[in-house]
Amino acid sequence: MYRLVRQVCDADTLAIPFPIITYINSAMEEFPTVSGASGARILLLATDELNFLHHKLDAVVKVCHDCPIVPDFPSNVGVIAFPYTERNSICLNSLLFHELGHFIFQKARVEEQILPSLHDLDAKLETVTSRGMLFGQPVMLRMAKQTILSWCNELFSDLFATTLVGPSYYIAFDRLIRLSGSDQQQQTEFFGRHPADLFRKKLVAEWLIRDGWNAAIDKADKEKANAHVLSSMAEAAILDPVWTYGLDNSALALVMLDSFLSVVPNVKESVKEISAHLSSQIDDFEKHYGAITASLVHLCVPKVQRGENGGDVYPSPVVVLICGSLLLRQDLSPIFELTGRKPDDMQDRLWVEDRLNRLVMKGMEDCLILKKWCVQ
Amino acid sequence: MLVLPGKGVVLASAFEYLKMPGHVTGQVMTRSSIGRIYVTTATATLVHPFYRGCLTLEIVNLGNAPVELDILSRIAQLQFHYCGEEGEAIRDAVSGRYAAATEPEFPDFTSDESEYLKLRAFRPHPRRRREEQGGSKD
Repeated sequence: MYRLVRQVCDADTLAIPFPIITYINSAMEEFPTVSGASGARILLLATDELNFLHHKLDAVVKVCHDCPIVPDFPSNVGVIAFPYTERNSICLNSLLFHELGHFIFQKARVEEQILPSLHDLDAKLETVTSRGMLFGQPVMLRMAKQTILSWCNELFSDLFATTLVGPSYYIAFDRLIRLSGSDQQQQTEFFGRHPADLFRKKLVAEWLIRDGWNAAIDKADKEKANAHVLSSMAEAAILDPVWTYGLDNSALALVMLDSFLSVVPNVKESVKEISAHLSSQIDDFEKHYGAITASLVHLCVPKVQRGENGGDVYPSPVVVLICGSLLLRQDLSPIFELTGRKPDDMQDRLWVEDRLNRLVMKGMEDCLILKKWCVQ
Repeated sequence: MLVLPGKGVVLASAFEYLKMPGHVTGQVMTRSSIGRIYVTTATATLVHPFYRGCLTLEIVNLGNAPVELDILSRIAQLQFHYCGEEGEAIRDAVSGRYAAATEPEFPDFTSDESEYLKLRAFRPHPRRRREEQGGSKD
């Protein structure tokens, strides 16, 4: 509770990526009741940690419930956090959708759907553990199950975020891997809580290609300015290195890896089931990509387009986010030329990127507000 | 809803994102209904040709009573003036430290530094002059 209160007190509540959290909360209203996440409210906090987080509130809920003088903690509230330095980074803030995935995983009890598939883990462990081991078999079994479920949780959140924001999540995740500075070997290693980075990237790329994002970007981007994003996705999808568990390649680690790989299809099925009600953004993307990108290149908020019946047509806020993320990976020389700033100057480059990030946020906000306005 | 206390100030931002043509300037003014409750919405009122961004509004409650302002309510107006012929300006250009702003931004005095240094060299502060000449700091 202290950790949460401290962050609320420290945070400048206006300095959050407001359009993203507004979009997340409006998306939560559309979740079907069966998912357990319907009508949930997500609170976004700035944190001084250099990572995006999902706060597990089980302990807080229990303390509030047990303490007679404290009102019950609302069960439909989720808390996610972002590094305060990334307030304006539209690209990295796509990782917030991954943290939302952790909340959904918990609320929809996905864990309970995966556990039956691990029924043979006990038997597999018996073949590799012996009486001489430091911990007894029940302890090993519990530890192995927790680790595999933790990997499933991460993978579920990756695929859920990819379903929500498409290539934006791939670009953000790719950037995060680059920022971590890990080498190719380290990226193939599974850790206590996370599957290998390359494994996650491969599955996200596969998911995007399966959804048709590669073809959509290729079709909408007539100047082929995003060719490098497409080739990176295609390369990631065909990756097949030898996956390892940290530095330990014991028989136990291999059993855990083997069991995890066997439940990956179940995780994919869970994501499909939970996101079945979400409509695809691909048509909207193909329709609006050209206009949104042209506006952003001229340092303007994406224009509202006139529909066939004379009314205004607004793209989904996510489409603005995706177009912005793709543009930030491109050559920005037309913007440097327009503003008279130098691409080699770090201050100038930061200024241009900051302006683009803010314009994308404003574009998302406009779509959210104007759409509501028109409905009213 | 924004509650502005008596004599209170706030730096706000217009919702609309403007892109001015090269032959038009603008002037932001308080709407008369808002002025009648002793609130002003802008102090730096000139909008340059080619400017683009959300206008920053310096909202001041000059009265003693608190005032409630709704988010997205109409509080300012913009008057346009022609300052040349259409097509006269050669090409679009974005300049200025607050260009393409989408939120209220704090002042940036760093780009004035060279001008400030020139002015200071023209007439140094008496204490600094004494210090430079090796005199006492007092």
